[in-house]
Parts: sequence; structure tokens; C-alpha cells
Amino acid sequence: MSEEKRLREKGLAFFGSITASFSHEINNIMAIIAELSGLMEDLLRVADLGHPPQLERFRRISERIGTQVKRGEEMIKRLNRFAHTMDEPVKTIDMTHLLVDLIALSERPRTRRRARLETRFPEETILLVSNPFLLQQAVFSCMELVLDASHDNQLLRLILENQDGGARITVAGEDPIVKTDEAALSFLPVLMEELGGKVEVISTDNGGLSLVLSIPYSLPEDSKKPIDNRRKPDVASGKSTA
Amino acid sequence: MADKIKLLVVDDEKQFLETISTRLSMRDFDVTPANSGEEAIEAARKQEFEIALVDLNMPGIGGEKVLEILKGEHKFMEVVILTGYGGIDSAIRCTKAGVYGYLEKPCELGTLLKVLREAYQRRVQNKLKFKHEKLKEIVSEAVPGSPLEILRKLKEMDKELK
Repeated sequence: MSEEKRLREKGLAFFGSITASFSHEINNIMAIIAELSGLMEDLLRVADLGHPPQLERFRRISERIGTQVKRGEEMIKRLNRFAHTMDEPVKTIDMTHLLVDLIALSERPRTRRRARLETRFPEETILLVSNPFLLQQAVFSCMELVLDASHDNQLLRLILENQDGGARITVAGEDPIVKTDEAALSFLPVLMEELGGKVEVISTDNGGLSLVLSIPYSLPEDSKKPIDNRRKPDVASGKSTA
Repeated sequence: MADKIKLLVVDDEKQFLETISTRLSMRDFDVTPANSGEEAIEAARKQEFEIALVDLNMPGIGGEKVLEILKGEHKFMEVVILTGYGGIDSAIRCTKAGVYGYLEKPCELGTLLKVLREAYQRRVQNKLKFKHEKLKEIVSEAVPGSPLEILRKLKEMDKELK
């Protein structure tokens, strides 16, 4: 499979995984709201039978509906921002904002494995001119790789640092490696090449998996073009064609 | 509480678990909520439940495994799946594992109540069928003049029915 095709397929898989887990969360919220409103109807029916209306209970249910609506709104906003990361291949990105959104987007895969997350972000803003979709895909892939490398309940560390005007992101697991997904691991350098960066695979002191992404301030020229408009090697002549 | 149906409700979403448990408790059910698969399995080992209402996608032991364990450990327990993450493949697997019903969230309470009551009916029928078969077996094997042996077998049967 060509790298371009692989990039496209992995990108779609990432997009699918995020939207599937988010739509699941939104469905959960809808189910909670439906049950809370149903409970209000139940209480009204009881009151209709002549029992004193339970106003305090009503107030609490109404508050809980409000909380769920807010949770849903926040999720939809994040999902919308995520969908828009596909609009342009190059954007100015605040790395802390991008990672905060990604942490929320990847909450379900983490909680499914009962992972705890510890983050360390710098006080200064790190701005990159890069591809936001590929950046999120790279960090998400690292999280998945680290989570899959060990048992459930592990501590996941996500560290963002400034590195020569670019960014350095470390995703590390605390528990010793049990298995590694070689196919996913071999795709990371392809992704990082698109971003003009590199990935280092390190073992932590406890024998856990640590992935360090070095991302430059800006993208390489060729990566600024959409995949379909890139120069393709002319197999017959050995030259590149637009 | 004696005439209420003993129901175990399992869901990792606390708000949902709490609300659905309250609503079902206001009806024909004596509800025990469990926030995870592990908690549900433990609860069922300590107390007898007639039906379990189980979510599928949970951290730790997922709903399909919970179904398998509950059905394996509790002969007459009926299990109904209530999930926001359903699919044909999972529904087929659950059916093979002996699930009574497979519902998707959000679910109309009327539909849920209907399925839970039908599941309870099936449990009653299965227990009666089992009792009938056992009695037939005891009678066919009975040696004239051994009432104590018959009594012992009847007691054994009652124990199994519990």
C-alpha cells in the first residue's frame, strides 16, 4: 500500500474512531435527559394522585438536566472544532488548546481502559504553523499505543514542551510493556514525516513505553499541499510529476 | 418489597443508573444498582436476582462478559441488554449467550417495562418447566416404600430452584 493511501486510510480511521466515541457520549447524554424528564413525569403523576408535589426533587432534576445539556453543548462544540481541523492542511495552532481538545475527545478510549491521565503544559503559549488534523492523529496514536502496550488502570503522562521554537510532546505509560502494536508503531514515523518532525521510542525507568514527538514550528513545503495534489514519482522515467 | 421483581441494573454512567433505578423502583421492581461489571457479578453472588438489565460498553468487564458470567452462575436469571453502542454482531453474540432482550438507549420506558416483565414471565416458566421435569424424574425413579429418599430428592430440587 502506498504511503499516501495509508495516510488517507489511517486518517479516516482516526476520524471515525473519534466521531464514533463522541456520538456514543452524546447518545448517553440524550438517554440521561430522557430518563430525567421521564422521572419528572413520574413525579407529576404521583402529585396528580393527591400527594404533595416534591418541589425540591423537581429542582434537583432540573439542575441535573441543565448540567447534561451543558455537557452535551461542550461536546458538540469540541466535535465541531475537531471536524474543522480537516478544512485546511495548514493553520496556526495553539498547542495547549489542541491538546486540551484532544484529551476531551479521547476520554472514552481512556476511561474504557480505566487509565488515569497526568498532564504538564508550559506556561507560555506554543504556536505552530502545522496541520492540526495530523497533529491530533499523531498524539492520539501515541496515546493508543501506550495504552495498548500495557494492562488497564495505568497512568498515562502527556507532556508538552517548547523545543527550538517547535514543540516536543511526550506520551508515556507507567507500567511495563506487555505487547506493542508494531503496525501502528511503524506508521508513526510516516505521520511525523508529513509534519516535518520525528518520533523517538523510549523505554521508561519502569519499563513502560514512552513516545516522544518532535514537531517543527512549520510544515515542510510538500506537506502544505493536499495529498492528491502532491508530486508523484513517475515510475517509468524516475522523474516527479505534479 | 416481597412481591416486587428483584432486578439488578448495571451501567457505568452514574446519572443514568441512578435515574433509571429510581424510575423502575417506582414500579414493579426492587432495584439494586451496580456501577460496573465487577460490582454486578459480586452483587449477584451475594443476593438472588430474577432479572439483570446490563449495559454493554463499560470499562473493565464489559456487558457481554457480564451476561456470560451471570447466565453461567445463575441458572434462571434472565438478562436484558440496554446499550447505546449496539450492533447486529453484538446482538447475535448476546442471543447466542442466552440474552432475553436487546434494547438501545434511549429507550421508551414502556418498551423497557414490557421486555422486563416478559423476561420475568420466561423465568417463571423456565422454573416451572424445570420443576415439572424433576418431579417426573423423581417419580419414575421412586422405589416403592422409600418416602425418605423421595423427600430428600424433593429438597434437593427446591435447593436447585433457589
